[in-house]
Amino acid sequence: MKNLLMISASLILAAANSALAHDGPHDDEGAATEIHLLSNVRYLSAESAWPSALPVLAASQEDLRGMRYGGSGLAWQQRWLQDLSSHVVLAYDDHEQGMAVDHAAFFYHAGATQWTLGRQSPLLASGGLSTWALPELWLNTVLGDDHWHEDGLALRYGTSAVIGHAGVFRGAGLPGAESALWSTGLEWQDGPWHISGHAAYVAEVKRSLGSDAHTGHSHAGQATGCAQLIDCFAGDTLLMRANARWQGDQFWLHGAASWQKQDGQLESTLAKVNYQGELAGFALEGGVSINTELSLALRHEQMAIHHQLSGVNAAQIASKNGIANSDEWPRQTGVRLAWQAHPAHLLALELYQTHINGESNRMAMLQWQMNDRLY
Amino acid sequence: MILRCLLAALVLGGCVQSGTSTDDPARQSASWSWALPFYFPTPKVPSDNPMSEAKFQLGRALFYEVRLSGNGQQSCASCHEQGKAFTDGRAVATGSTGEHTPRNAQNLANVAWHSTYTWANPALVTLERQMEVPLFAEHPVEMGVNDQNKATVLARFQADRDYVQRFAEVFPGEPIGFSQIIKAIATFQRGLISAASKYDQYLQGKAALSAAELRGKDLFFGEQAECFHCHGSFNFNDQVVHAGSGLAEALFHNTGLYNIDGKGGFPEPNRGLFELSGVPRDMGMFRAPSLRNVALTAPYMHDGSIATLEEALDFYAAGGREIKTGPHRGDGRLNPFKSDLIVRIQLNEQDKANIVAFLKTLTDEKFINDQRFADPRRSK
Repeated sequence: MKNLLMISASLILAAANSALAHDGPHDDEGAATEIHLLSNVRYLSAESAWPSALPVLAASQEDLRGMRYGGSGLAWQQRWLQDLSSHVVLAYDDHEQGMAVDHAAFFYHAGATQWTLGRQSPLLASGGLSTWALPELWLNTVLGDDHWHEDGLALRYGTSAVIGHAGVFRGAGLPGAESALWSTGLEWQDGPWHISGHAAYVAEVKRSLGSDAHTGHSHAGQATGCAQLIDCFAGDTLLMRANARWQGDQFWLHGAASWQKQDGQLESTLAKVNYQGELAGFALEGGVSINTELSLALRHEQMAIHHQLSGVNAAQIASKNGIANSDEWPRQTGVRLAWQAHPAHLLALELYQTHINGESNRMAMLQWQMNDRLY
Repeated sequence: MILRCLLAALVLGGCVQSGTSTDDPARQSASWSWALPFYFPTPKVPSDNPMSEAKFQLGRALFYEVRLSGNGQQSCASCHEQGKAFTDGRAVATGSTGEHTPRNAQNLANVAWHSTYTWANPALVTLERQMEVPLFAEHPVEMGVNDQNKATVLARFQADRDYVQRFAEVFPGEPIGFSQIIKAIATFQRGLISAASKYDQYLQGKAALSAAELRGKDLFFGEQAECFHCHGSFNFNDQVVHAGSGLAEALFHNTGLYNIDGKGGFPEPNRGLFELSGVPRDMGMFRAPSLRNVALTAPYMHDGSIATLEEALDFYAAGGREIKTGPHRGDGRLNPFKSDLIVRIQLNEQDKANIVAFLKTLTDEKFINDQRFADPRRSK
């Protein structure tokens, strides 16, 4: 930890310039073509694995300690017509340990309406707190540590104060989704205030409980042998997120609530039982811009996990799948110091204290983000 | 807590709940409640013989009742003593007429979950069917009930005012018959739950295992000793059926105990599944017994031919048994029908001692001393 702090301090001093997130097209009315070089290099040091095994179905087995490069790659934005543009991002995927198509979408603007067709991030994915190097606890638990991509069609309609959106996607981003993901949401902005709510629904989810949340870059995976060889969840999934943000000249305050509800059956080798599960996440963030380059933020996250099983061998099935005891509120508190001394480069240091499953874990994460325009 | 409540109250009006709730209606009814640890599945109970406390108590009385044998000399408990985890400590059991059975009396702990009964009969899948064997078998005689004395045996109970009252309560409108007797005893046997051993306490976080016991556990459940392949269930066997079971698997194994003719032969009439099927590959195939309370159930194997736990471990470590003299002479290690799971295992003396130490943690003192399972005429 001490070494890490020294490294981070030297990196912050040595670095220059700022960075941008790579989600979504950049509006540059003057350029028909833009190519950007992206980096999102992170290093996580922790006393024990993160995330700790949570009492949720198919808890992620992935330990995010060490170097991560996910999201680093190339972005190509092309304006084909006045109202038609495209955005492609080819980026490294940590899970697959190779390059993958992160985004590949066409955007069509017609007045206040924007259509997006192709691979994109659902707005619900960004409906939580602002982007930190360490994924949000709730989002990581629901999806695993990966960028949330979906192939589909989204419609966004907005006035200056209110924006509504709706979309239908293949559902490949949600582990086990076997039918389309429908999403909708509403955003309202007035001066320093921004309030939004988003929802997504997948009617058919079938997910093996014996494997990790991931099955590759696309999260949807085959669940075969359910109830004979392996245990599976079969049912529907509803996701909801709401957040409220106040952004002053120097300070900001941000609160978010996220909720996942799974309703269906656990098809176990021991029996089939009815299952309802809820995973709620709450987060609060407060921050201050120390000057034009430095900012400091504090974030606290907390989750509540609830499982309800009914049927023959319900208790044993809960035990077998690691959800027998979920009467605990996993929580995590972090502080982030970010330095954006150049428009293309950002360095950040995040320090965390987590409390999951009765165990504490102290962590530090370094991040270097770059968004450098090559063309 | 304050922050939690504040967050919950602020964001969702405090309606968030946390925790796991399970509801298994098969575990509880008005007349019976299964008090089981979370890792025990719910037992499968025949729909025509539901559990009830009154039936359990009637079955308990009958289990210890010598009047149930043809000559009035033997009860079920004669071969299934509670203090020996419902075994008899003999190599093979002795029937009411003094005739020896060919096989070792099996322990009755957690028999509710066995998918087949006796040592090698895939057709006996319920306790009710199994009980017909000791009651009515003639070769050899066990309880010695037959067509000639059936009426006499039943008359003993029909003339007993207490039994008449209890049968009427448990089986209203039905006569006292062997069907009712069998159902009551089967109910008692299903209620013989052993789930309070030191290992159970360990699983429930109520006790710690010693270093030797832990090492033995790791060996038992690891690929070095490989015991778990046949004894890896919660009941330490590989034949388990429960209320949620689909198709119950019935596995039988030839462990290389004999090879009397060099062609895999076992001595008659103890040739396992072969006795029923006549199929050569079924030679020497027997059910892996539950190892719960195994320290109390010596001697071991289907014919009680291994005296101690240590010898049993030596036998498995050697990958079978070589008998050098006598009528059963032969090298079981070379038995062509021996299970692929029985191979030579590298275990030193300390490893064996550790495994034995672990096996002794399966002894359930509460089970063998529980007055609820004891002879009601003698119980305190």
